[in-house]
Amino acid sequence: MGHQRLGGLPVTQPWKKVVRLIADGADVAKVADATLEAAQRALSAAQNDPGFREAVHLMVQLALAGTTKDAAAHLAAAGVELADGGSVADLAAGLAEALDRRMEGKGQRSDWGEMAKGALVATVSEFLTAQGMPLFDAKREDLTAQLGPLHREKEFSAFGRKFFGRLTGDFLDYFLSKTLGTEVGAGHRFVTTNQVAQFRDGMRKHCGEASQIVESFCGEWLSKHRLEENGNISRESAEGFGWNAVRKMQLELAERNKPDGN
Amino acid sequence: MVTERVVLCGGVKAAEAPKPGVGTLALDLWGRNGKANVTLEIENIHAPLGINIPPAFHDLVEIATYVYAADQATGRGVKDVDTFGAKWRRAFEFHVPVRVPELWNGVEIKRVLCATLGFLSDDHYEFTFYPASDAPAFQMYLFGGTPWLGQPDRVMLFSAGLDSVAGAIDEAVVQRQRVLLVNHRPTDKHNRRHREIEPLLAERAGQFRPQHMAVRINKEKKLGREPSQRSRSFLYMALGGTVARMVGLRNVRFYENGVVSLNLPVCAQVVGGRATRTTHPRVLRGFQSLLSLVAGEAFTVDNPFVWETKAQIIRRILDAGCGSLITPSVSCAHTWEATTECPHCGVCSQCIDRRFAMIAARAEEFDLPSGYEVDVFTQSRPKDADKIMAAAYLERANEVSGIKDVGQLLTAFPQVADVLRYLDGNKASAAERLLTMLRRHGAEVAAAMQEMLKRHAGELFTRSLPGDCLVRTVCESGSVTSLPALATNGERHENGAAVAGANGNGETFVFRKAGVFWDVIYDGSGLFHLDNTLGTKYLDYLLHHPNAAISAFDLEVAIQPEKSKARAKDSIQDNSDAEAMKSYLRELDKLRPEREMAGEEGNQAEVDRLDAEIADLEEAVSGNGKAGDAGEKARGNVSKAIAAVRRKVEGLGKRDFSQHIAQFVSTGYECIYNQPEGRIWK
Repeated sequence: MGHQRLGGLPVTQPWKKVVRLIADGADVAKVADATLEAAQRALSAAQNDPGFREAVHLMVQLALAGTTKDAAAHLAAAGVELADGGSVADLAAGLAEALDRRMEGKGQRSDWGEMAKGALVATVSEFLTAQGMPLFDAKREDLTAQLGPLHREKEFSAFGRKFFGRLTGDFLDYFLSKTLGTEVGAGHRFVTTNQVAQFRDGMRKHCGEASQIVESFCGEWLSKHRLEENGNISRESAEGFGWNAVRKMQLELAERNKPDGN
Repeated sequence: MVTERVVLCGGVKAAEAPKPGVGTLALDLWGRNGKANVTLEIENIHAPLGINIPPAFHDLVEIATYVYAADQATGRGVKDVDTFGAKWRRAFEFHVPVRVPELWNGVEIKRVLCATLGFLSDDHYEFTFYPASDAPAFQMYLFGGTPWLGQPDRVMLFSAGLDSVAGAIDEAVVQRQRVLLVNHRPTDKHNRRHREIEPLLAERAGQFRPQHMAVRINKEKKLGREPSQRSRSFLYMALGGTVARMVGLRNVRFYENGVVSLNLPVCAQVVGGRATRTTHPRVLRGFQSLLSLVAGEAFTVDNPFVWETKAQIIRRILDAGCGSLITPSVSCAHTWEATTECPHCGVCSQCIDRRFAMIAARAEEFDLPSGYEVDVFTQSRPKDADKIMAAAYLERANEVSGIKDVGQLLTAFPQVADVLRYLDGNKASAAERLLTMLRRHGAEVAAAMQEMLKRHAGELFTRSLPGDCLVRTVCESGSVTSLPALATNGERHENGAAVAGANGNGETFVFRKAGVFWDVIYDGSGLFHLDNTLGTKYLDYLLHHPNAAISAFDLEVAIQPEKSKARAKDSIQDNSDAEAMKSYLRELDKLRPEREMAGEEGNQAEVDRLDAEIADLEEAVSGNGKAGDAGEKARGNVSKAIAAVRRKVEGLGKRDFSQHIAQFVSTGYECIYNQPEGRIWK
C-alpha cells in the first residue's frame, strides 16, 4: 500500500533534447522552452480538455459570484456546493468536488485536467487567504462580501496571473519530475538534492515572472466581457479566455529563452 | 485514447457487439461455461459460515472479485506522457449477474459504487446488473477449516505489513479485544509471512489471540497483466464487511498510517490515482456508504491510525513489548523480488518509508539493513524510477516540514482539498491535526537522515560511498557543477552564501530584458518589471555602456536603426512634428514644477540640470512651433522617453532607482551614465 507510480520521459528526439539540456547545465529558461516544445503533442489536446475548461469556467464564476446578492447560490448553480460554510477551506473543497464531478464521465479525466484542478484550488487558497478571507468557520452569507473584490480588474488580474503561473509551473514540473531525480549525484548536473530543489524553485519563479504577460490581460478581459455579456460571461467565452492565457504563457516562455529576451 | 473494456461476468452474454476498439473480457467465478477463470477461496473458520450471509453481501463479494480481476487483467499504458495519462486511465463497463438486482440497480448505490471506485482507481466505471439464475451458495467459496475462537469484538483487514501488525497488536494485546483478521494471501510468500506472524501474535495476546481468516483469489495466468492493483482495498472491504456481517458486527477496520492514507504526491508527475488511495478518507467514507446500503443499516469503516506517522506506529509496537513482531512484517511493494533473506527491495517508497521510520523510532534492532536488497542510505539505485523516488521522498518530507499553516498546506498540496470533507469532527481542528502529523513525519525523516549522516561521516569525508547514494546527495560538498540559473530571493545556498535578487547568483544591479518585460533589481532589493518601451531600451544602453558619452541621435539610431534613414543627423526638419511638439510641451509642464521644488530644497545640481533641460525644450518649441534639427529632436525624444521610465519607476514605489537615474543619467545632446563605483549593471 502507499505505492506511487513513477515513469520516465519518452525516448524521442525532443525529450532527449530536454534531458541533454538538463545534464549539460542549461538554465531554467532554456529547459522550460525545450520542455514546451517537446510537450506540443500533449498540449494539442489540452485546449478541449474538460477539466481545464471547467477550471477556467469556475474561476470566472468565482469573480462573478461576488457581484451577486448570494454568492453561495451563484456558485451552487455553477456546480460548486459549499457543504459547511463560506470559508476558504469550504470553497476549496467545493471546487475540488465540482471539478471531480465534471471529470467523472468516460474519457473526461486527464492529467492536464487534474493539474488545472490543483492550480485552481491552490490559487483560491493562497489568494483569498492573503485577502483576509477566513480559512475556516465562516458563514455562507459572508461569501458575497469576501468574493466581492475579485470582480475588480486589478484583483482578477492578480488572481488570473497566479492561476496561470501556477498551472504553467505544475505543467513543466509534471514532465521535468520524470527526469530531474535521475541527474542527482557526484558527476551529475545536480550533486545534491538541495540543488534539484533550487532548480525547481527557479523554474517556479521563472513561470511566476513570465505570468506577468497575462496579468493585465485577465483583468481587462473580465471587465470587457462583463460589459459585453451584460454581467454574465458564457462558458464558451471563459474557455476561450483560458486557452488564450495558456498560449500567451507559452509564447512568453519562448520569448524569455531568446539570447537577449528579444 | 482511454483503454475500454466490456467485462462480462458470470456467463452473461453481450447484448450487442462491442464498439470498435473496445475489448471484451469474460470473467467467471461460477464455471457455468466450463472451467471458472477466476476462483475465490475463503477459509472456513469452523463456524457455520455462509448460512446467514445475506444475498446482497454475497453479491458484493462477487462484484468486488470481478472488479479486482478486471483491474489486474487490463494493462495501464506506461507510455502516456504525450497524452497526459490517457493510457493510465481505463473505462470499464461491467455486466454482472446478482441475487438482488433491485438493490444493485438502484440509482444511489450505483452512484456510490462508481464514484468510490472511480476515485480509488482513477478509472471510469459503469455497471449493469442482471438477475442471476441458479446462483450458487456461498459455501462454494469455503475451504479448509480452523477452530472457531469465539465471537469477535472487531473485524479488521490484515496484510501482515507493519501498520496492520501494529493494529492487530493494539487490538489484541493492548486493548485485549477479540479480533478477527481477514487477510488476502495472493502468493505463497504471503502465506509464509502470515505463518511466521500468527504464533508470535498469539503468544503476546494470550487468551485474546486473534482469529485469522485467509482469502485467496486465483486467476488464469493471462489475467494478471497489471501490477498496480488500485482496486484491491475494495475487495478487502467487501470481504471484511461480509465477514463482519456474518458475525453480527457493523464495523470494519483498516490500519494504515496517516501519511500513506493521505498519500500526498511525492512529485509533480504523480497525478490523481498514481498515488494509491487505498485507505484515503474519501474512499473509506465511500466504502462505509456502500456497506450501509448493502446492509440496509448503518455500517462504519474506519482507520484508527489516520493521525499517526509510521514512526509513531512503530513506537506503539515497541511500547506494547512486541518488537519481535516487526521483523517478520513486510512493507515492500515489490513482492515478486522478495527472498527469504531480503524481504525488502530497499528502493520502493514503502521500503524507504519503513527504513526512515525504523531509525526515527529507534527500532533498528528488529529491522536490520541486511534485510534490504539495496541499502536505503548508502547504495546506488540502478533504475531511473528508483532514483527519482528516493530524491522525491526526501524532498516531500522537507517541503511539509516547512509548511506553517493549513492555508500554506492547501496551496502547496491542493490534494488536501479532497480530504477536508471526510475528516471527522471540527474541520479546522482536523486540518490542524493533519498538518501536525505531516510536519511530524517531516521532522522524523530529517532526524533519521541526520542520524545516518553522523554514522557515515567518515565515509563521506573520504568519499568512499557511491556518489548518488542518499547520504552523499543530501550533503555533498565541493561540487563543481553549476548551480541552477535561478534561486528564490533571499534564499541561501547550501554553502551559506546569501542569494540576492530574484535570479540569484548574487546579482544586485540588474537591468535585463526578460520576455516582453524588463527585469530590474536595484541595490539587491526585490525584482520588479518595466514595460518594453523606447525609454527602457535607451536606459538599458546607457546603463550597460557606463561613462561613455553618446549623442542623443546616435543613441536613437542604436536603438532604432531605421532613424538613420529617416533623417540626416544635421538636416533641418521644416515640417514640425506635431507629436513631438506636444510631448515637449508636456515635458515642460512637468519639469517647471520640478525645478521650483529643487530650488526650494536648495539642490543646486538638480536646479542646474533642470534649467538646462528647460532651456533646450523652450528653444525647441520656439520659432513658429517648429522643432529644431534632428539632434535637437533626438535629444527631446530620448529625454522624454527616459523621463517616462522614471515616472513609471516612481509609480512602482522604487524611489531609490528613480533618484539614481535622475542623478547619474544625463540626457542632453549628449547622453551618458556616470557610473558610481560598484554599480555594475547586469
